[in-house]
Amino acid sequence: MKVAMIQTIWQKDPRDNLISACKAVEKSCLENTVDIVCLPEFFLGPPWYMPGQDSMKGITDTTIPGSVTEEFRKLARKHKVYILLGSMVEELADGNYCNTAILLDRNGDIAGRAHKVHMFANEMVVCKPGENIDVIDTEFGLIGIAVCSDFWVPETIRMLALKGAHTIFIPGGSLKQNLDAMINAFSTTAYLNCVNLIYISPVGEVHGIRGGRQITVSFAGTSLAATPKGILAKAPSDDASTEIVNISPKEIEELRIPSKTDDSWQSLILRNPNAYGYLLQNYADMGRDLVAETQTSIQQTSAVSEIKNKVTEDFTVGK
Amino acid sequence: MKIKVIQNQWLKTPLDTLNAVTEMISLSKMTQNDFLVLPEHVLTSPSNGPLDAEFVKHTLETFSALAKQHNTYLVTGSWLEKRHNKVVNVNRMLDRQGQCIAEIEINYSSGPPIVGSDFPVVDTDKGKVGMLLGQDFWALETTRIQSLKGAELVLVSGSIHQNNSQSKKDAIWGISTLNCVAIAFANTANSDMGNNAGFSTITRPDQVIVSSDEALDILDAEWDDDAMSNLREADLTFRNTLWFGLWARRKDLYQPLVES
Repeated sequence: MKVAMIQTIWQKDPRDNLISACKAVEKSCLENTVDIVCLPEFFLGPPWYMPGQDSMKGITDTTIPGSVTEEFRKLARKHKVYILLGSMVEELADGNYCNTAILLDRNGDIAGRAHKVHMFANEMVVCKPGENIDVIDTEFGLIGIAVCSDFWVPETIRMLALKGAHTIFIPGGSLKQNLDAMINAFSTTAYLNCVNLIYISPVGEVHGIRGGRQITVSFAGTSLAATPKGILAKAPSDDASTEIVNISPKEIEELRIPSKTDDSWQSLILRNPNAYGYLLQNYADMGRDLVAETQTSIQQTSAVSEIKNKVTEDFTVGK
Repeated sequence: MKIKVIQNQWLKTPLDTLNAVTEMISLSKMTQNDFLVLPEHVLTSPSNGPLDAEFVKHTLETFSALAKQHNTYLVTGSWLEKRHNKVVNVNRMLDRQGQCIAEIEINYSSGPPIVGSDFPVVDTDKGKVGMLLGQDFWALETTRIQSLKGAELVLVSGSIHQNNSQSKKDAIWGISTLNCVAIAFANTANSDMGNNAGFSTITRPDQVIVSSDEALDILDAEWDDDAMSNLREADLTFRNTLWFGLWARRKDLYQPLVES
């Protein structure tokens, strides 16, 4: 299975992100015979709910199906390739939003989708979470999609591997402060779940106010591919790139065969689920309502923005 | 919080090994130590079968005296014992007075590894601490459960053999990161008596504090008592995000993980 991992970089004008993503998909298909082309989380640009991004509403979100998916459906059909549109802020019919990844097949049809299940930061308030963690049946066998922060709750990848996924695609956004720990946690996850992992992140930065403080959120690329045996590819942290990797579903099947002499790859098998009941409990020290706190923080930030806008208006009128 | 891990070698007899471990502990700077961790099968290869009851008694008395002398919690590492006509692999945690406060018992067979069903979390004067034995550590769920129960540190009497040892070494830190928990992992050193990989490690979620190669070693680590609680507290400025995996869970979705 040949995979093109397209690490995008957010353009100055977010409207250009779609054009550059399409170009990168086209280029990787023309230069290589690939089976799946993967795009990162938020490849259309920063979502409106990130700090300082109010003006992105209606620009970096989309309906599904819609004009964005239509562009990529054409490309999938033209190049007879699977395309992972992972992920987009999906505007739902009821006015809510979801962080959604879509897998198009070689005919441009939607072969599967995954909604982010474990909400991060403002998503806790503004996005509807996914309600299931399931595999997708493809011509390559069973695969999984986990959207960004879903990776950081290890139950997600574990469940997808136990349900039979040999490869899990993770459109995500690498936070600069955690890169070394992230890379090691990534290869650990591939090893202990005996699964291939493909992680694709954008490069970009946003500036805004969070909790009354001016902040910068930096997405630091570093897209990764790993098999249970180690890291296969690593993209740069500061630029767009395309990495092409060959991964083998068959090798995963072989590694997962129970062995009496080698327990190296068996941590998916050597389990005792009857003893794992506590996984259905919450973290013991969780004594705060993060949704409520995030809600308050967003309200405070909005209030600060309104005051700032008013001051600017008054100043302009006075002038 | 001060932690020590002993990476000892198997010597010709279990008694020789016990004496050498005792000497290693006595020679190391044990002032104000809090946790001391010994490896799985600390005294001899499991292929030598269970220790006799008298020697087990002697070993426990020795470790109990060491815990008391150095005023430290001590994870004894494991050895095989005969109980109820079965051979079991037993690991114990002793408190600062040398009293046993937790025990793990896993059935032993010379065939494929057997996993356990008990992953104790103990209240200590340094907070909640988990204890694991052998193969259980490599199942992701065990450390996860102890972290969810509030353990900020997991003490592992483990084994890493030469086969695929680098992946396992890296995975100690990975498991620590994914569960936002500190880990002290003890393994025996390589020697003529056994093909062990060493690689004992003390790690926190954000970084490996210290780790060994294959040789005889004593590992030391120290951090502020509240360092792990701080790392685990939800930080909505997101300067630290390592807490996220504990707080953002959707427990209602994980039923398949507890089904056979």
